[in-house]
Amino acid sequence: MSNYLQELENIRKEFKLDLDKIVKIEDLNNTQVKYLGRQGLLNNFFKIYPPKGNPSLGKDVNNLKKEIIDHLKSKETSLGDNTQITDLSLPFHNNFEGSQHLISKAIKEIQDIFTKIGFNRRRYPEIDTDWYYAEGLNIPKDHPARDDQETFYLENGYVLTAHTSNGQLHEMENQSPPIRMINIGKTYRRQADASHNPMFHQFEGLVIDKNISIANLISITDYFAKSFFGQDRKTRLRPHHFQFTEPSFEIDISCDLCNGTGTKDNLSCKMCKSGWLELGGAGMVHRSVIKNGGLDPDIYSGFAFGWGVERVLLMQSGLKINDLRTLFSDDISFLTQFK
Amino acid sequence: MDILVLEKDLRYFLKTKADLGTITKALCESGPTVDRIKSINNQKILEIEVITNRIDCASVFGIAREANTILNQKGVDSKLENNPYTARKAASHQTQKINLRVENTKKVFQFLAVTIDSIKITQSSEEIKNTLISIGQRPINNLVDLTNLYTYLYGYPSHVFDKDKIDMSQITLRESNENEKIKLLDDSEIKLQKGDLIIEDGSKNIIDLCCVMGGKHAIVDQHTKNILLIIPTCDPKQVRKTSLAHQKRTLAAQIFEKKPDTTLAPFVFSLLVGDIINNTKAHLSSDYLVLNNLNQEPKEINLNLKWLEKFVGQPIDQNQSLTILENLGFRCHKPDINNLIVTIPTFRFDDINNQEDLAEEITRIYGYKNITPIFPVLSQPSEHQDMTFSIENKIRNTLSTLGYHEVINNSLLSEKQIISCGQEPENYLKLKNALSEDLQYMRTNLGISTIANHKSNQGTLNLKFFEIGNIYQKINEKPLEIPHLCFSAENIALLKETLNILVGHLKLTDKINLKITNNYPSYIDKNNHIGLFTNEAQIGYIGQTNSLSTIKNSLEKPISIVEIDISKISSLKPEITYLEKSIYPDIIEDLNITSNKSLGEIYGQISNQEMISKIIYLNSFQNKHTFRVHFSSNQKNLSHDEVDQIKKKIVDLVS
Repeated sequence: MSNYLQELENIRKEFKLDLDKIVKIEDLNNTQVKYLGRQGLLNNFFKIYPPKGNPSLGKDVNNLKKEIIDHLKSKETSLGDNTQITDLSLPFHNNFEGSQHLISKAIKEIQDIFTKIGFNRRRYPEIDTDWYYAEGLNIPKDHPARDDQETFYLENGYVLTAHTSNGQLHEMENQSPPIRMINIGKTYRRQADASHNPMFHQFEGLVIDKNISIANLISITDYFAKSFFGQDRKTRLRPHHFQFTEPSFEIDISCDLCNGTGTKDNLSCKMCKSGWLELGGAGMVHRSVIKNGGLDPDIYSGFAFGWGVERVLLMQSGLKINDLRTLFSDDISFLTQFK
Repeated sequence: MDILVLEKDLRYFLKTKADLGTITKALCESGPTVDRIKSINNQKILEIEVITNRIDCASVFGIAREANTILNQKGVDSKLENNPYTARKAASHQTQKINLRVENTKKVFQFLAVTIDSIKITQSSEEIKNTLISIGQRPINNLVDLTNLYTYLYGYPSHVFDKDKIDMSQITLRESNENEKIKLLDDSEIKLQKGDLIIEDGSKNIIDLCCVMGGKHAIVDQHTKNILLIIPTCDPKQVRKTSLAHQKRTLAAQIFEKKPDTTLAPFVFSLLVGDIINNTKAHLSSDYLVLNNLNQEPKEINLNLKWLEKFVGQPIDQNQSLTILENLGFRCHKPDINNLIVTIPTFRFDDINNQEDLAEEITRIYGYKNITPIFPVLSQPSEHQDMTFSIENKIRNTLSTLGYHEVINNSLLSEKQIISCGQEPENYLKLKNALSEDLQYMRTNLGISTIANHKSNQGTLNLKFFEIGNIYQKINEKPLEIPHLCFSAENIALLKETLNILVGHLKLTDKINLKITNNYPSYIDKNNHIGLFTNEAQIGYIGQTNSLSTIKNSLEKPISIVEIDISKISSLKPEITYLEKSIYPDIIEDLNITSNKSLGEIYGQISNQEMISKIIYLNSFQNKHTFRVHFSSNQKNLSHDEVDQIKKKIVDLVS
């Protein structure tokens, strides 16, 4: 009986010697295997001294096992403390190259919001005939809605489009209903000042099907406003007039600076008009336009909206860019800020 | 069109206990938008945006009429008073007739005229002067001020002439001939075009540019004793044409070009005459001249109420629809349970043409915020999808991660830019009315823009740009838009490596080949470029700018450019392959080849051999090239003899 106690004591003594020899993790691992492994000394002990019928033997062995485990654990910790220290505390920087343009990212975000609900992304011509640009949209020649001073014309008579609504007619030709289109592209206007760049981007939505209603229009424009600007924002419709929609609306979104109240710190809010910011125009597609698109307006109805990408981008991000033309700068110090 | 309305004048027509805030909110929700409310000298002034098809709202009365309907709909008590349409028409007992001759009756819709004698010209009352000043107009004298005041209150412009300066024997309203001249009230002299509508007196003096601006010839001044008062209403298209051509965008022109309600004119005329006579102690000296050429049959539109419910997206109580329309001045009768026959009032005659217009009237007064949004159900997916956009996104992600900065350049270039890149402006689509010389031509390639980007940022090292945008080709005078990708860097080897990675990410490595070509831009060096091809066609190139273009564009050193036609790769099907690794180890050997053939040809010969699993180009010195080649077989361990045989074969083929 006392043999096993002596044997255990021998193992304990040997372990203490081995423990002192441990200088690196591999030694620790080897020692662990030597004593605690499946073919280790403690397990082999049970082969020589079966614990059956001898509860105190089992208890003694387990005590030794626990002792060994504890020593090895402290050794592991102290070994860990000896690794070389690396200082990782420097905050993140933006000094790496490569960026995607703010406008491209905004376009992708807009595209994703609409494709998620079954819209098809299109990019219809920037240069088009007068028919697709105006006449087909119920804007006859000599109509006050035509402001020749703001539109670019090419020498060959084509128009450099100032809106993306020509896309409505192209889509009706290419696609039979149901139509859900989001046409995003470059548009041009003869205007250059702090709020206007001669080239900019617009996105145009079009939904045409049987029994499309004003209630549908409100749901989609509301969905976009909440997805893009935040769930707490509200929209409202105001009567307006466009030649290619009837009824026509202006859509406003509640101002985030004054929470739609119109006042901030008891003064009238500088950003908005009485708590509302203009988003853009919308309306039910005019029956003449539906007809011009080759569809029967007594069977099909639809709605459309056309808004500015740069405008919603600046409204969303709160970027304090005073001159819109900066967005089109190729100065690396501007580009590099927007990864 | 923006107008200013004083609260006190609004309340002359609108009798209601509602405060200004309530009135404003009502208008914004359902009618003309009140942009701002200003307070000047204790007066409240509303800045209102009048939309282009609602000329009936371009006056205090018009706004009051709208506000009245909307307030009543919202349950706020309100009444219209001093309605001009109910004014009594004052009679004239004079027998003297005005001798008017109209040449083109098609262009003259209505003409009202009368002469008034013994006018006393003075300053207007303080109240009238203050009103005019508050709405941004300059008080002149009691007569002119009254006409301006009436335009403000009722939206119908009128004009006065000094009768004694006119030869009243014959007044002619005719179209002008080219090069006739008129001196206008603002002291400018204009040369008329063919077709402008003018008024001429008996001595052939041109006294008025009709519906736009009066002539200086018969201007009313402090000595005026007798006047001719007119309200002309002419073809709106002609008025707009005349006003734009001569750049006289007067308030009168802006109103007349939108066709105000001629039914209102005689009432306004009567009220104005009455006011003039009372104000200036004058008396009529002629009979009224009333010329009406506009024959408008009353317009009736059928409104199907079932259709209305579908169009709005929710049911609207039929009685409510009826009340709204009647309050707006529409007369309705119901032939059956589902239909309304609606008669359009004169002041909405041109604006309301179909059911949708009526739906707008009903729903805006009903309140858009009272419509419950309903998400439309999509019954089937679209027939056409376009892969271009997902490829463009992949390109953006890859290039930006590889350190390239995306630029969005203007689509328009200057002639100078085109010529310094050795290209011909004649091949470019040109603007007829460019804003400036810098932006005249539509770009046919993105390379010119990227050169400009490098130039703008001279001094910064390691510039890397990319752009995805349309180019605009001129094909037989017709424009063709094609999406292109362009990316550029200072070092061509780096650029090629980027191209390699990009093509790999698009999974098109085996679909795009590099081949010698003569088709490359004029600004690219003939010894430093190569074409990019698919099996069908050339899709682009990679190359370095030549010395001439580098210098002409003020670049310090050449830059390297890749330009690709995206439309030609969006139809390619990306290929995903998987090769199981052989269990037999590779033999890796460096192959030294002396050959005058191009690297591409040598590479091609190596890859044609059997047992080649990988080829890495290492370096070259003159015509000596080193490739690291991995030889492997799926069937067995290759022997060195077998490898040597393959190597010898390659060397023989390329030497």
